[in-house]
Amino acid sequence: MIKSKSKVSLWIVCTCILAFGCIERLDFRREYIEGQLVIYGLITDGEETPNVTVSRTRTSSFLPEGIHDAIVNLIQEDGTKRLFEYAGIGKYELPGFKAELGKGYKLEVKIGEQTYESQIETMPTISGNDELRYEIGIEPYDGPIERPVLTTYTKTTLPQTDEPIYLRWKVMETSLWGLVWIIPESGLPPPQPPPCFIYDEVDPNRLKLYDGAFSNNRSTELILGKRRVDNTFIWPYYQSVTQLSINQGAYEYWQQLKIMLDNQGSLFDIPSATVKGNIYNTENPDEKVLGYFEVAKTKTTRFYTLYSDMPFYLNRPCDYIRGKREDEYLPECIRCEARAGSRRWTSDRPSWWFSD
Amino acid sequence: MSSILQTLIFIGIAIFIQSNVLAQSDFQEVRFQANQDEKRSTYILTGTVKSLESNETLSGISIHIDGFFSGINTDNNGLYLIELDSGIHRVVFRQISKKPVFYTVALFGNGVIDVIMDNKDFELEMFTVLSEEKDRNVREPITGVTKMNIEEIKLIPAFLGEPDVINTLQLMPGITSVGEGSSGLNVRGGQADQNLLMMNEAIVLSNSHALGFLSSFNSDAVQNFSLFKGAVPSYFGGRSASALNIEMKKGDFENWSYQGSLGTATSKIMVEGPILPEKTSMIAAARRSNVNGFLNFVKEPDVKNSRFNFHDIYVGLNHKFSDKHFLDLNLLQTGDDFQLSDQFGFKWKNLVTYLASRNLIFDNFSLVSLFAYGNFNNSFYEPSGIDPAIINNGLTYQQAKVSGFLTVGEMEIIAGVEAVNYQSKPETLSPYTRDSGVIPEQVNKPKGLEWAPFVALEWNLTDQLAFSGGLRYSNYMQLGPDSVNQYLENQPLSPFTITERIFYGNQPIVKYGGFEPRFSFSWNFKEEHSIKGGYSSMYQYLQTISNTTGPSPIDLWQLSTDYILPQRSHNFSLGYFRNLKDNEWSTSIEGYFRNSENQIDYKDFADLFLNPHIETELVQGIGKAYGVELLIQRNSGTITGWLAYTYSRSWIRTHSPYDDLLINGGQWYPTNYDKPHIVSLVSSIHINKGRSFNVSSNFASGRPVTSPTVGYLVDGILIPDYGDRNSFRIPNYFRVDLSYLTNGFFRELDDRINISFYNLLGRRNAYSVFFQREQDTSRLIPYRVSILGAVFPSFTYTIKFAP
Repeated sequence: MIKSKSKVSLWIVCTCILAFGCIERLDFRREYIEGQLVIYGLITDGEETPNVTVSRTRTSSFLPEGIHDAIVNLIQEDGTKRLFEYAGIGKYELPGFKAELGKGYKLEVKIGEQTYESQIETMPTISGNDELRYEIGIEPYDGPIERPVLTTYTKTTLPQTDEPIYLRWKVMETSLWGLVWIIPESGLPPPQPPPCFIYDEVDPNRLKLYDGAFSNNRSTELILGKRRVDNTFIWPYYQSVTQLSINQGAYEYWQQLKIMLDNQGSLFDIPSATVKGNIYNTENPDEKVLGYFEVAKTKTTRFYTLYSDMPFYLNRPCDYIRGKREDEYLPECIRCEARAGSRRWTSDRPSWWFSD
Repeated sequence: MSSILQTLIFIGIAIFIQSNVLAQSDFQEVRFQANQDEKRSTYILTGTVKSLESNETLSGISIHIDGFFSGINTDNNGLYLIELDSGIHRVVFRQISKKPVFYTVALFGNGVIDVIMDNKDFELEMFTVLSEEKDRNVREPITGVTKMNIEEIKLIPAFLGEPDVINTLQLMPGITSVGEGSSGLNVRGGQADQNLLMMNEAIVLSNSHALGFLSSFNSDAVQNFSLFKGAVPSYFGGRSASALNIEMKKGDFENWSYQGSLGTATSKIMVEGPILPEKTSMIAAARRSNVNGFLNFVKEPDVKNSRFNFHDIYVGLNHKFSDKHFLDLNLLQTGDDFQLSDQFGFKWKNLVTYLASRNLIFDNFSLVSLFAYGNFNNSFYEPSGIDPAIINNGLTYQQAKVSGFLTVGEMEIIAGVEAVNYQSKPETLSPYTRDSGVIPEQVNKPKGLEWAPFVALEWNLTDQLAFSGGLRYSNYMQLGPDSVNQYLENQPLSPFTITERIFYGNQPIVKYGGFEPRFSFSWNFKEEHSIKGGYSSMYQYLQTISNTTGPSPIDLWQLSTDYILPQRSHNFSLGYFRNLKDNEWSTSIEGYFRNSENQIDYKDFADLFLNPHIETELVQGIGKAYGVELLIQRNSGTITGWLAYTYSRSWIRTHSPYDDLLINGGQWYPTNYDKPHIVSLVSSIHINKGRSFNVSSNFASGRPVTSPTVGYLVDGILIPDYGDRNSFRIPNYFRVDLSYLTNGFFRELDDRINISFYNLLGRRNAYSVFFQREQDTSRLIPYRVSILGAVFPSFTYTIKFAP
């Protein structure tokens, strides 16, 4: 009986030891790798300035670190080289250059002793036509809470041709923000402060891609982006939709990025992997180089909204109130920087802005 | 001193004589006499052994002649045949869970003894785990065999209190799964689809309920199972790692009985009995989930609006034409319906039905014929969104198998042929609602015929040496009519390199095949010691294709084609088996190695559904798996159970002439289910007859995952860059389950109560990881996805009665 009891005690002790061990938390940080080269470049036939960013990944931040001493050249079919100018934070630009339809281009980047080249990318010759529209509704946004949202759609018509066509879209917004004009109680009023034109990308994580091969009737309708309706819309607001007609390789590259960004951690997610680009080290092809060099035929279409288009009441925090001191206004009513935050802004009215 | 000695000698002799007299009195005497002109020096003794309780034939009953084990066991049909010298022999039929049956046979002519064996009534504080011979693990000639019956399975704490074959197997050495809620078993580092799953030797494709938490075999209708994870006998084929055969119960030929079960997870009912007494019996068992009802009590809207239904039905009809001819008709139908809120849902259905005839043609030759039909359908859908849609796919198959069993002396020869005809169903995309704008799509899938003649030999060469060998010649044809994509030469397979599609009529499109040698041996070099080794080679023409993190019920079954080559494996195993204390303890250590050709993995970002050129999304390579398994098991006593440790590695390496297609640059990388260390401790305290307290603990190394390592910007968008495939691991897995089995409330009824706690510690074991951006650094931070993050208590009441 005693023997039997001791067996049971031993069994209970063993079970307890096993039961309360093995507590662990997820942490892969120590295993991160840094120092991988990232090169991304885009040249178009449009007004956009050709630009290339050259950077290196780092572990201290998920954002890469720009490389300032690279030599970046665009090589044309005839072997002509065009040198990019350094524009800061790892960015290189080629002002005034427009790519020609049907021509091939290659990127060359020299960093120290190493030379990196892209494959030759040929500028597409066809693109689609976008008809834009927007809807304003109330729906869950950025979580389960319902908010007023502006949704942008495009109805895109493709040319009647057998030539393959691959499209992606970028949606930029330009919002006007009027600073408060404080009129003193006495004396001449100061000049009205110029408005801020603030630029930002709309819904950047929603990659908008389309393969023309899947169209039977040569047209499609897509959601290009969603944007919360806030007090931005008390002033005129523009969206500029740039359609980029890209190559098959670039389409596949963006398609893989889209899969990765769309994954939600579900059991049925397509597992992610490194997205391979078209840039390689000429002396060491095994070196992993991230990024892509793409050429695109572009077409930009715009629409704008006014306060009168908004079906909701929107708060106007910067209206002039007689007797209210400057320091009593919100900073964003006084300075464009405060309103724009990390977004790009200017006081210059864009050439395509509507005239009053 | 001498008087004491004399007294002791006298007492000893008296006890010996007394015991001998008692033993002799248990022997039944039978006599067989040949005609005067047929007298020979040896005669054949044959017959069938059945269970008194179920009237089913019993396999694995050992036959002892004149005090020694003859090396002969009854075969799968309960038949035995032994050649003995003319004369009087003591013949004993033994199995550890049965009362032995003794005969004194005067063998002066060929004779038939049909034996009925009764269950042993175990004494208190004595319980035996192994229902077969306790020394079977030492004597069984085939290496790497795991066998268990339902009574043993019921002792193990189970998820939602539901005893389950698949979950039980995961506690045995060398067997694991990708994680909670994943379908299938990974046996000795093999992929889930490399395990041949059978119900009474009929192929079963889908084996899971509830996304993989339970198997589709209702434990009430299961008799036992055998898993061949080492050397698979040549009468099984079609998969490259292992074979699991689940034997279902046959109905009682004499009495009707009824069984009902009500639990927090499932409700079950079972009926069995004679339709024609002694001639035809039936068994019907049905099970459905109760979980759906509980979802309504959950406050979380997504859970409340979810659906979680499953059911299974098993029906068996058995007819005896005579003592030598039997016919079995069985049907298993299972179904699942799972929907998470209005986000997505899965449905899958599986039907397996088969007809088998078992005939004893001669005293030493029996013939078993089987014809099975399977129909597997699955679908997954998005019930809401802009365009609600549903994708359907599936597979039907017809399986035919004829096996002859010939017993010659101490040799058993099995020979036959097996064929399986597969027809993949077209994969379709349809609108899920009337308003959906989805344009219907359909992609045709291949058809194929697999067939193989086989021969197997089991031979007890001496008392110490047993041999089991076999040969299978595997054949496969992809069948028309079908169209086959043609690709540009010297270019990787890609949708962009397709040049044309060639149509084939009713003709073979491509053929594969080859020999599959199998053998294993057992050298019982000392009492309770043995060394076993084995080798098997196997082809596989049907595999699942998945690019999800783990196997799921909706994985595509894909036949070999022009471009998807069949897998072939070579499996080696060697083990040392040692029993102790008169077989009270069993121990073993086994090592194994397997390499396989043409193992499939998916390319990065593969798109597998509705893909008319699926070969462009796949990449094939070589696989290797190796490991060591250690098992210490206590078979009898107040506390029984086992401790199992497995060191197991599983690797794959892709090959392609195109570097871009290689995974991890063509280097070896671990498979999704590579778990180097697995420990299971299963123990039961038998308080008294009918009451037991059971605990199981399961530890496993975290499985490999692919994780982002750094981030970078592309056109203003922050992109995570993932490291090599499966180069990180999720945290280790650990779970403790507890159950208490006891008699029910009514003494006059056979009622039982099962109280169990699954995941007693409420440990949030990670199934997979996903990544979200950290606010300050924008770094992607890994978060675990736990399938079961809480304790799952359950209560099941079962009542069984016979009118």
